[in-house]
Amino acid sequence: MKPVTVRRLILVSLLIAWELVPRTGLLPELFLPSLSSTLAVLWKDGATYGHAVLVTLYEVALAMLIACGGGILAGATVGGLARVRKLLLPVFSSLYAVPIVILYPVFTAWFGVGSESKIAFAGIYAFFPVMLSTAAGIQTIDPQFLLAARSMGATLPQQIARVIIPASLPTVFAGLRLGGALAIIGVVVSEMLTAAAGIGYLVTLNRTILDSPRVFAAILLILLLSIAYYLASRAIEKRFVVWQSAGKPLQAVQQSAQSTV
Amino acid sequence: MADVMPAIHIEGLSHVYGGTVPALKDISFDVPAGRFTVIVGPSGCGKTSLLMMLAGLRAQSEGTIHCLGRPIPEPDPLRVGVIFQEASLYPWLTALENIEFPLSLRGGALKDHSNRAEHRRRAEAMLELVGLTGFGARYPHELSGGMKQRVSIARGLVQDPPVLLMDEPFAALDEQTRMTMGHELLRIWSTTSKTVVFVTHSLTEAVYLADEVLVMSARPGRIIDRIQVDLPRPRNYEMMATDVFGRLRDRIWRQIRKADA
Repeated sequence: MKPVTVRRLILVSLLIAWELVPRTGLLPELFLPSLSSTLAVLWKDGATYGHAVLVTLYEVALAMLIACGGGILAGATVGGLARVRKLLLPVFSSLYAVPIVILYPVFTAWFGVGSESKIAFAGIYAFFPVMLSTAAGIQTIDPQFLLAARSMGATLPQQIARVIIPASLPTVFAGLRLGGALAIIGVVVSEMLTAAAGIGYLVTLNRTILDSPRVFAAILLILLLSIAYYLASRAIEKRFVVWQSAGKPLQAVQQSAQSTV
Repeated sequence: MADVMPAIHIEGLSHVYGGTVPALKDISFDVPAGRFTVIVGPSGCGKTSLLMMLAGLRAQSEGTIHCLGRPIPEPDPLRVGVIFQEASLYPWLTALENIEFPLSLRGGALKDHSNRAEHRRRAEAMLELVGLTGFGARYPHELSGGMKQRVSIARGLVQDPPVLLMDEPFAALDEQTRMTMGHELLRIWSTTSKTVVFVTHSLTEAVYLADEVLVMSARPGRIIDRIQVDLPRPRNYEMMATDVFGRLRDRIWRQIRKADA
């Protein structure tokens, strides 16, 4: 069987198990509400969940904007200028290891319990991988690429636009993908901690009143959100970084081309 | 030849690396127009540095370099084309786009459609010259090592510079491909009448390609021998088995060993 088929089978059997395990009484509905009762809640409370998703999406979008914009800018500065790099890179790298969630209570004090504190926290949380991978992407550009560009008469703006940016794109994209995922995590976690709206808030709220189907409905939506994000980011990456998908077609081409060289 | 201006004129060239390490010492030589000159020498003797200075990519500490009668303080792709090892092809561009790259750096390429068509036509002519017709849409990772180097040569020739500098262009290739590429290079050279300065580690390659071989000493690099290769052209593989070829190769080898000691 192909891996894709196996993956689909696993998914389907998980969904079936989700329905059957609570129904047959293997686990009480309080621990694991069945798929059908979860979906029923989603249907019934569609307006509530829809609004929560919109709030969360809004916060995620702004957090990503801050993280990607700031991360690329800071990463390009740190990666491109050796002096700044020596000064700041160790600081940023070690900050990356700090569990930034400890700052969240401070952010709620500064920005209140509304969306601003979530955006600020998730934005900073996602900033680091974007910044670090942008810096790495620029730093690891093959020096021959730039030497060749100069020998062909490229000006500095041309070197940046035509060589540095495309050459660092794959690494930058990897950082953006990770940063985006962290922005989602950051927003949901902060909504779960202190909030009055959003999907994470619905998880916490319904857990405290032991309404398991509603908790799982929210969890399901977060799952779908993350999967949608992953698929979208992959699609964008594929469009922009065609040349990175090297590998499989290579051997076939080489074999057919061997007679030429 | 005395009244004819040499393509390359170097006099009293010395270079001190980082203010303390002497890299090149008192190098003087001329390369007459249309000649194929090969520079060999032990690793780290400054062959590549010398080539970079000839390309205007690096400044020398002392002495003069004249290329077609004028100094070359910065890269001038219309006078001097440089061909690097295969790593310098841009992986995000197709073979044809790589060849067009130097043309596209010179103004108006994006706006002017007739200009673009002209670039495309010239790039395709170069592709044909290096024997890769039909491979223009391939990305570098879809090409074999030898084919990539053909694309590099095409890129170096596309602006039709009278002088071509080659920095170990075939070093990354296997022995057989290397021999084929050397032969191909001679074929291309004979149709374009360029002045070529070619740096290599391979003694066989040096004798096979050169009109004249310059042997450099270990650091600080000096020219310690100039060997005329009077084998007739066009060269063929059978010549490698001749006594003349063997004696020339042997003489270079003895000079390099002396230089390295």
